[in-house]
Amino acid sequence: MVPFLLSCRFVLIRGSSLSVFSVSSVYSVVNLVLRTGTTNHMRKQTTEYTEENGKNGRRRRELDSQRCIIVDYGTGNLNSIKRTLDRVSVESEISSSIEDIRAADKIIFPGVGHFGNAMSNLHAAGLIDILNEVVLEKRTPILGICLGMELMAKRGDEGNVAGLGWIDAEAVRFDIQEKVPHMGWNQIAAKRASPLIEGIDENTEFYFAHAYHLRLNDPADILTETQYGIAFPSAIEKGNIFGVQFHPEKSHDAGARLLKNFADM
Amino acid sequence: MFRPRVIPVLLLKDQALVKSVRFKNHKYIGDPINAVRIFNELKADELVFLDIDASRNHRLISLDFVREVGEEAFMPFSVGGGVRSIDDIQAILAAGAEKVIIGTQAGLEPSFIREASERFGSSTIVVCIDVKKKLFHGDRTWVVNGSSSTRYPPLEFAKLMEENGAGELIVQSIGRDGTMNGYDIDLIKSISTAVGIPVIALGGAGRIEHLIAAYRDGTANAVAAGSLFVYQDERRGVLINYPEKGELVF
Repeated sequence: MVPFLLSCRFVLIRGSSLSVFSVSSVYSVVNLVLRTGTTNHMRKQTTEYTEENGKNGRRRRELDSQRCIIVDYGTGNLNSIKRTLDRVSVESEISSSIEDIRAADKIIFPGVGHFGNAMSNLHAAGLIDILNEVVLEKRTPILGICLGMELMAKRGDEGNVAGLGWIDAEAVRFDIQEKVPHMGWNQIAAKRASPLIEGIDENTEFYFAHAYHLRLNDPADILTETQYGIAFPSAIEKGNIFGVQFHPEKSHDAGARLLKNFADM
Repeated sequence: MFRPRVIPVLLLKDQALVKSVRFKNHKYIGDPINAVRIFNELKADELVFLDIDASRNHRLISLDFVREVGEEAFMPFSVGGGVRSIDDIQAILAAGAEKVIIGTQAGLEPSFIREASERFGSSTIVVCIDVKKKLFHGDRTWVVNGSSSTRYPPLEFAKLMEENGAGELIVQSIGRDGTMNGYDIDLIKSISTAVGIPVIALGGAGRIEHLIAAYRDGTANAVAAGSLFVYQDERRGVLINYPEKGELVF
């Protein structure tokens, strides 16, 4: 009797971990068994809960299976972003197709390298119009990473070219005593709350590798700041537009959490 | 707050992880991908992979290997070994590395670094400066895994590399490699104080105090080591390890 009971409790606890209500019912079922000595009721209960959780499980998967597109325009390390999303069970696809970008529920906009070259690549790939369309009209949530965030500015120092202009900002080179590029692990300090950084502790470290940073003309767009010689915006948020200067895909668990937060919005 | 990175450097020879002493006497350590998995668990800041036979054999580090590391590593990693062309860099980045390390080709053709940094951005291009005394001369920059010298004194070469757009320098003392007796602090300091780009100290670390000294006294921006992270202690029993955050007070 006792081992069987224990095993049943195990099933119920595993099956009912989604709600407090179910946990209390574990005890009621166990109590019932203790009182009546019968297992019929319990089997019924177990089945019911399993079914219900099955439904929950399906609902959750539906939410997760939104189309998250990682924009491929010939820059950056896209596989590491995809792999990090895989780790937190977010379905994603690397694509440079206009249709995919239009149909996307979430867009991740990476970038490594030279501002001017990246803008040329975007023009050459014919992606500027569709990005403007989904970001400004359809208002699809988009997360720029590193150079991907910098490109959202009106202008970039590197190459002295116009950016996408979604954010009232310029991408400027660090003018500080410290070594440039800012290369390594540094903390972020939140200026306000946001679903993007939910569950991430105040002084969590992320991996940075950049020589330029955004200078925002509207401080309200700053989500987090980081200190390196000066305080610069390490994450931004303006409506459906998000950006991080660091590399969440290379920042261990905290980075994976941030990407998951974005995908779950 | 910004803090120095602590970087395990993993040497590859015939796809196996090895560790040298003064660039010789390679000892087999184990499977490199297993090491990556362990460093994931230990939350290493960054990893460096160097294929030490690649330049000599006129080939590039295995791209399949880079891909495999990319599949496993949850942290940034840099890769070097036989990088001679823009296509090589493109291929390594496409395979999943964050940064590419260039040694031999930088010494033979310094303008290659300019071409590379303009194309891929400074943050992606790391130059490794291997330093050893040359008979009747002072310290020189050596290439092809320490087998041939260039005319460049390390400080002069470091400045040239910065000028050409390198994003970061690894300064490695060949004479200290694998000795676990501590870094060449004077060498590191002379370069780190003369350039505006980050300098990674390498060669000689055997204890945590050595890492701290490279940062405090050598003014390195990051500290790297091989033996320290693959051996348990100076007796050199293989044990992949990495300091806890609390052990490192820089």
